[in-house]
Amino acid sequence: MVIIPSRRRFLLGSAALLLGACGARQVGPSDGGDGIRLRFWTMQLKPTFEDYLNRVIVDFQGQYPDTRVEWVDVPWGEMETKILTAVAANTGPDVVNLNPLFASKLAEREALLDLETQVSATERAAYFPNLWQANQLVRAGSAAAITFGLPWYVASDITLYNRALLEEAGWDPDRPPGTYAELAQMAPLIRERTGKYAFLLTMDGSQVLEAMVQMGLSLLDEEGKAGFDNPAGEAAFAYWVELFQSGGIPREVLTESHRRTLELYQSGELAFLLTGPQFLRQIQENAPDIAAVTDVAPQIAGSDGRVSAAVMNVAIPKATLYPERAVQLALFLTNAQNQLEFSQLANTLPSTVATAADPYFTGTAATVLDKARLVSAAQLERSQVLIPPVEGLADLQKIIYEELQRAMLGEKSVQVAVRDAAQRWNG
Amino acid sequence: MDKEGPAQRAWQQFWIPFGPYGFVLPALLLMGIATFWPMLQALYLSLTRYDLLSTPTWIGLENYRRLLWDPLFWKALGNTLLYVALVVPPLVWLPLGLAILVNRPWPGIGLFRLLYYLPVVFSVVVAGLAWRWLYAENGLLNHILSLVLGHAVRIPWLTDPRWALFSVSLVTIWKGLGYYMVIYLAGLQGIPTHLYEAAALDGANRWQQHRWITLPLMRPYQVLVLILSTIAAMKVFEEVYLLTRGGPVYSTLTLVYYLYERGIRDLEMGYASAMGLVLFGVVLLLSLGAVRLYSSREEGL
Repeated sequence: MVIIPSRRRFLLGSAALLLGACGARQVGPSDGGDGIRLRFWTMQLKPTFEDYLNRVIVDFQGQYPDTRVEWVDVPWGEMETKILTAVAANTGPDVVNLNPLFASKLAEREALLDLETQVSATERAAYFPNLWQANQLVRAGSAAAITFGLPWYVASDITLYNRALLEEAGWDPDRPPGTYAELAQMAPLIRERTGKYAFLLTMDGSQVLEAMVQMGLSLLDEEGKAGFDNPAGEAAFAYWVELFQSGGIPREVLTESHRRTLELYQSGELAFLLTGPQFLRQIQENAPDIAAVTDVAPQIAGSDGRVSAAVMNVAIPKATLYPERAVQLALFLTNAQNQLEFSQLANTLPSTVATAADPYFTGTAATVLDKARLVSAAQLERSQVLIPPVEGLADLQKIIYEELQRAMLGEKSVQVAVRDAAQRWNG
Repeated sequence: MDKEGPAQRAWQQFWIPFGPYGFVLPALLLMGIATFWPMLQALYLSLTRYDLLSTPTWIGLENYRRLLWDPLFWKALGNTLLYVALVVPPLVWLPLGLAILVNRPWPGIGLFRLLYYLPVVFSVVVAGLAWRWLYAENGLLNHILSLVLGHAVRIPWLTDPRWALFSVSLVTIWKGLGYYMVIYLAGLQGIPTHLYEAAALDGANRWQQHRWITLPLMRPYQVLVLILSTIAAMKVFEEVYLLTRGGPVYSTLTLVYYLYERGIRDLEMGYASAMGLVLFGVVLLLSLGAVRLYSSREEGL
């Protein structure tokens, strides 16, 4: 008599539990009733910067005693998926560290707070204007830009090069190439005399596209149409096609990632590595022999001398319950004092003018690490995000790379590839 | 014995026909939540435009119409079918041969079994990275070929559209051999030895024993391997992601990789769902085809 009803109760109870679990809204820390709780997500800063960030958080909480910051560190590769699903499920962070390219995807969908209206002119003036622009999205058909993040730490690529390989190739190691044109002149020499390759930029990110912009290719015109169907665009395409077809760069340019470039440089297979100064330390740890013959020079540039910068930012999802406090946290994280300390720890560059003026970035170099920092800091003012966030940028990059690859593989002439790329974008 | 009241009898009359379903209910609920509900959702999403962040907009069959005219979808489908053709026959036959070889009571055979099985326990990521090194322009494979042939060989394993899909499929075959070998091995060890003894008494040689005992009795296992490897090949993603990311110029773009690009990278969840359902349909058709093939052969025996 007892068994049947209790079995029924058990079954009903199980079902209710399961359904209840499915239907329950995840209660985030922001819902806490005892003051403000901010969820703060970063990209792979643990464990190296754990002490630093904990200290910054404690300082912030000291300034705002009613606020508790809950810091979550997300692995680099998982951030995109995690932030998307969290924002979609309304369980996202209040403050998040992203890169502009991905943040712009969220901004396109109006998921991030427009900081243009949240930050005062004085606060804004603390950042380099060129880096501030890196977080602005111009939407198709709209003149006004959305500012979707505050610039945080910056990497401005420099040239790391293997002096021994340059010497072997008969090139003065004190005068490495400064432009892509010179680099192309050197590539066959390196290949012939050392059996190695001069350099490898990869298409897993925007590095090749940035180089093409430096060479004079214009991505879009004022109407948002393709701006590269012209001799400048063809010249930029031709540069890569010629290098690829003559064997001046490894074929891996088609499929490999930046990590592979680093591996090749560390194994002595590449003469040049165009990358951020922060990788120098990694080379010293992984390949001390190569580090011993490594020197640094300013970023390889095009004819107009522009250099590129990669900016990490701090953005605020629109769904936050505490937009004002979230903005205050973002400003605090990126203020001049905190950025100086972070730059020293991470060997990155700051986005604030005052920090960059510190003697740490303007002094004299005792080691190659110092030299790398000073060289990259010196180019900070003329650095810019060469591919600013625009709507549909990922598609544009995909089209250009695909057509470029077809030309490299000999499936199309340069002219046809450029024309097809333009038509596909405009169509 | 207790006397039963009318209420209790009525309840038992209700319970007896439906009661057994109560035992299945928890599992059914879990399956419903984890399997059937997402499938239904995918079906619904495939009829919408959805970017994860905004509310889905109903667009009817638009995503399917778009699929019909999307050259990349057809390229991905073609590549996937070619990949199945490259991968499945070796995975059906090679592990069977291996299993027959390692089924012998030779000394040290356990080591061979282990060696063949080892790739299975490697994570795909580790295997993918290792193979990228092997396939590099100046990697081990080209080096060995150069030594054997006596002159420099630089096969563009992953960087030439004509080679790339073949190279990716080689990794899948390498990784799957041990897994399917174990399935066959289990089958082989289930064949009663008296069949071979009787055949030997009747004068059948080793080849005849294989031809008329081993192979027919292994057929159900072959069908199982055929179906499993076909489904796995249709869903190939990790190898492509790790080795080529669909390139060069889409030569290794497979359905699931394209689905991932559209869904996760471009946030076109509706379109990706439509593609997922088409993939489901193709896998279902191929699996049914494999079963039908097996049934007709059984009837023909």
